[in-house]
Amino acid sequence: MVSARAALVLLVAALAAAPAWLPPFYVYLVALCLVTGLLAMSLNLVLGYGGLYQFHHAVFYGIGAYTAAVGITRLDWPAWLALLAGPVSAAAAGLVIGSFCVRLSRLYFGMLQLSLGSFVWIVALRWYPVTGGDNGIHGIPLPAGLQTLGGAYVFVLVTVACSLAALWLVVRSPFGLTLQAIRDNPQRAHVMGVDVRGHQLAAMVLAAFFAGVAGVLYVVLERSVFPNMLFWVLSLEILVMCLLGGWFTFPGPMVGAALVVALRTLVGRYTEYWTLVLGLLLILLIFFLPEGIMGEVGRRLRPRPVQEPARAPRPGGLHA
Amino acid sequence: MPELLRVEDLHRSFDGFPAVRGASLHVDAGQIVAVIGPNGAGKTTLFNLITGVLLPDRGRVFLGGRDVSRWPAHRRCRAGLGRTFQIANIFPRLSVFENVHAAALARARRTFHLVRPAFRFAAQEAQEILEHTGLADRADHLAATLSHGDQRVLEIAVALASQPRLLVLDEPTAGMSPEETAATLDLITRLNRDQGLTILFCEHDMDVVFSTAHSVVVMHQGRTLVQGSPEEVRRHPEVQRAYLGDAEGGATSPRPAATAPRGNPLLEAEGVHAYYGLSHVLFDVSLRVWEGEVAFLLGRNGAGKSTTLKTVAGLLPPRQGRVRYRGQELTGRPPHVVAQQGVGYVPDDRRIFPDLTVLENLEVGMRARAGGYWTLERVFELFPVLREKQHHRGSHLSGGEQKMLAIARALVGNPDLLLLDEPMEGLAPMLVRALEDRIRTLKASGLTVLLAEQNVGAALRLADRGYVIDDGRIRFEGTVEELQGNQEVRRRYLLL
Repeated sequence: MVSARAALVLLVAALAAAPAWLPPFYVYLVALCLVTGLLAMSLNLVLGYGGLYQFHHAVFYGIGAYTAAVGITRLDWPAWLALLAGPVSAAAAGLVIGSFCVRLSRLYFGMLQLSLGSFVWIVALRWYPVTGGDNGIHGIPLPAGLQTLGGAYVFVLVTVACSLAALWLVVRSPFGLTLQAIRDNPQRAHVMGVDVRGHQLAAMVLAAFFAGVAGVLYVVLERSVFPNMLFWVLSLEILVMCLLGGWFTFPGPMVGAALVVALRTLVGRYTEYWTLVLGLLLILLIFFLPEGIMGEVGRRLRPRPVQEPARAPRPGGLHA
Repeated sequence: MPELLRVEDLHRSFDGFPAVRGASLHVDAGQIVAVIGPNGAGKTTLFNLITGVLLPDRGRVFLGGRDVSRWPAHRRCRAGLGRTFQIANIFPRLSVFENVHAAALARARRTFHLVRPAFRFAAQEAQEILEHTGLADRADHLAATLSHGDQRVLEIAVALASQPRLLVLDEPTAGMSPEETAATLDLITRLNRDQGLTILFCEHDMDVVFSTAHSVVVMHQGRTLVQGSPEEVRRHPEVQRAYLGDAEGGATSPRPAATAPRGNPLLEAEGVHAYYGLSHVLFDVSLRVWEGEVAFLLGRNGAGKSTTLKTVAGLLPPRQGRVRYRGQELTGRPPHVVAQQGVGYVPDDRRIFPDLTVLENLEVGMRARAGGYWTLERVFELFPVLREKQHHRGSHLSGGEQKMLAIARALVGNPDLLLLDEPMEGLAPMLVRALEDRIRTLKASGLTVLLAEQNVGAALRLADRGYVIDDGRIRFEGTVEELQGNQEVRRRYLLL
């Protein structure tokens, strides 16, 4: 535990000092990993902790980013206000889409979300006067402090750190425990007196909020938005990040996101078929690390429980 | 005493089949009330209607004088109604402590609290319940890793954390070993006596019911026949006919003398070692089954009975050792190949296809073989209730009916060797006796059976010879007479 805390402090210190010792391109890359990682971790609140098949999480990311971009460029809102409005509108979208979806279960939940999300995507793609259509919006003017890469990097780092701290509190709170109970056995949770849909909806709103934060950070980093930010392909990618990193662990999605972003950028330099590498990686993962990278790390770190050797687990466990 | 629960003329149908058609009962505060009835009588459906998991088509439920008939389950829970389920229904990825803690948080209505860590709320409460139920020493274990009996106790602990006034238990001792059953009954009586908790439960084991309950309700074909004291119910003529059968305590047909096995065995396992992941569960298990015999495999819960059958069926390939069938190597062959060789397997947890109808379940299991004895018609004769319900979905059958379906599904594959894993578990006494007769019929038809059972009496009435297993090791091999003569083995491994 002590060593884990020390490692965390070291990591944060190294990240904070990154602009001083890394070339700008890598500073940008680290920032992109952090933003994408926050997006993946916000998804994991509903996916890994909530057990919901959130198939179209990118919508909330896109809504956060577009709100900031449209607020600044079309509505002439003060930039800081527009940046704040991003997560809020994403959370509102989470509330609307979520209140339809939580009425359904499992796959149907995911399918409905895909269709509602695609509706939002079409709006972003076709509403030229507001969203810039398939061109998106570029060269978004930002407040003075965020105009340099260094400034943007610090803003991203601080915001991601605060968001992760907030997510950590949430998963350890009574709400977080209840959410995991619902994931494991919604019927039992319901009979126990838990309003299952209410908690699922609250989790979706929270997850959408943090996805909105990630969306705004993307605007800060790139100063542009485009419709692919809310296309379902990106949602699938975030889902893969969670599985890759370990969806039953807290830091897993961040690790998965860093891996995918790094692969895309570094392998993408040599070949446009970088997804081939990702695909191979996924196949290996499914065979050798079914609980993801951090799931495996956690398993190795945990002291193995002493078991009575001959006591067979109940049959259900075998096929789980 | 004031009345805590009143149920008036409940009705509920599935796909047009009336599972409950006229159920009424009442529970006074401080009482233990038991519901008994044969498989498929509608007990679980009735409990689901009482607790709000299902809503009734007709009829009413009063809790503490208030009409809660249309309330959802979580609202009824807050009003003091806690329950457990027939099949262990816990949170597998949470620790034992977290399982109970989650329920305590729900009771304290803290589940929407987002900031402070969960252990700041209601942790003391959860801890006390774990101590009371005897689970405190396993608080950190992952719930999924508990034994079946402990999972059932954990269920009760989770239900207690809601601080119910009325606790509803659906077959709390199903699948438990005799000592686990005794401990659970003790827990139920203690909860009732020390904490004044009112308890409504359903159960097959008549001894359990008559020794524990203050009042007994009898259900038959979706209706409640009678409610009264255990004595009144025992004497009630309609009950005798409907539930206990006319042969209670009557003579069972005499067992034919065991013939000494000879020739090559049909099934042979030799020095089998098997693992679940890292844990070593079978140690050097060797057994042989000869054509035409019923061989028993006895042992406590978790002794390795199911694992042995799974190893033979190909579901769990042995790490060491070999399995041969008709002299052919089966070691490590996949389950479908084993099945094609003529080995039928009936898992203890049924594993029927819930979304297929009864008929479709059977069609999936059918295998055309020249001279195959078992046809749809013949299994319907064996289990008439399956004919009646052939168009119902598997998930709409009761626990006992699902068991029959699992056996029927294996039979229509016309196996030469049938692996039966605890076929008697959870069946009403009358059905146990009927099933015994059926297994005898199967044997007479030339079928070979390897029967894993906890119901020692039934197994010994049926079998010729067999094995006792404990801690993953074969501890005894011999005929029924030899086992009956061996006090040592019976006492140490079977707790008789």
